[in-house]
Amino acid sequence: MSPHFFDRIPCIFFLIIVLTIASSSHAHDAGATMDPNGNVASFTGFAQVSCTNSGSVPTDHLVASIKDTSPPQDNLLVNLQVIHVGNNINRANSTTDAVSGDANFSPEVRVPGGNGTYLLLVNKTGAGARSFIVSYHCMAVDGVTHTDTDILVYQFE
Amino acid sequence: MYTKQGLKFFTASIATVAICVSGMSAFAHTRLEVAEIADNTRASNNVIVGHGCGERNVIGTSVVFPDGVDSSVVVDGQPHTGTLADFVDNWGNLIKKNYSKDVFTHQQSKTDANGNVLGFWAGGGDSLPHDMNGYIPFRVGPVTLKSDSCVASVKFYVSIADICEITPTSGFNENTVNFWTHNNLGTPYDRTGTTDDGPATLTVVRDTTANPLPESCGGKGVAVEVKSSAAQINRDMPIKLDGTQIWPQ
Repeated sequence: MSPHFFDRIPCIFFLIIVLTIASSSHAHDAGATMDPNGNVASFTGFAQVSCTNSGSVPTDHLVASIKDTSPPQDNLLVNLQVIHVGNNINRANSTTDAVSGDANFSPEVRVPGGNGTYLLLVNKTGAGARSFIVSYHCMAVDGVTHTDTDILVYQFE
Repeated sequence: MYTKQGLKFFTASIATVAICVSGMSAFAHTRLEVAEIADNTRASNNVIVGHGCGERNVIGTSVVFPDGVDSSVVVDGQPHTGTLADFVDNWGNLIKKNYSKDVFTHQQSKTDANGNVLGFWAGGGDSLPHDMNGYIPFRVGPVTLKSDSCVASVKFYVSIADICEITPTSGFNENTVNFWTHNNLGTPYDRTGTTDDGPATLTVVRDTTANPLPESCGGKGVAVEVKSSAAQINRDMPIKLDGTQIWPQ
């Protein structure tokens, strides 16, 4: 918008990539760093995933998993809980990435609930910075069709 | 101060206007191309910037949707003491800018502290000629109206500033910025006017076939309206990058 503005664009984008610690979402993976200062054992991410039809195909369930992308540290693991309340289906499940820093996600968990909202909690077993990626997908009953998936982050602290 | 591009284009525009203008100016408000959508439906849309500041081109636009956190909520014309969450399950991160350089060369989402998108801005480039429409594309995710509520529709008031010159707030006037905002919030971004007809609107209408009203509603739903708070407008209307405010300044 101003000459000064144009000059700053490349630098700004670089800083965003390097420094950001706020949550970000790309398609249906969301990544961030919990407890960046390494002193909040109770650090918790709290979000809501909204599942709706894909065309005329309704959601049957949500599948989700988590990957700890930080170097391994003894007794420090990330965990994901998925909770659904409503539609007369009150269910929850959880999963942990038992091997930090490798290329693998935690075992995938599946929570039935149909169209509607699912709550996601991300936490860890102690103080220490942990970078992670959460994968979350609303799915049809066939387990193949991806239904519409949106996320709203309530808390990251 | 004008952008280099804006100034160059502005000069050319003056000449063009002096030579050629004979048509009428519509001075259409900046509005959404699709002002009404069904609930639980993902929909592409555009902010349509309708004109410049007089004969000055538009060099950027700032678009803010109510966050639903401290927004004011009105139900059938009466203030509601609860929140938007009484009527909508998932509002708060359903707006996504569609990348496009058709009008402006730069764009970015406006987010809250948790990364939820509450609006966007676009700006830079050759500027939008003052006598042309500019389509700024975005997409709205499926808005889920609460199935156990009596909500029939939710109208979101979308506050927009079309910027023709970068100034501090003290420089806001009809030559520097067009505000499509509320006229009564008490912010520097308020539209000047006696009626509150500035903001664009996006109305989400309940599909009563797929999402029927509960029987307890007696077959009649309520109309909900949502307006941004002054605090949100003061926070989200400015264009910021890397913590530095680009506009106003």
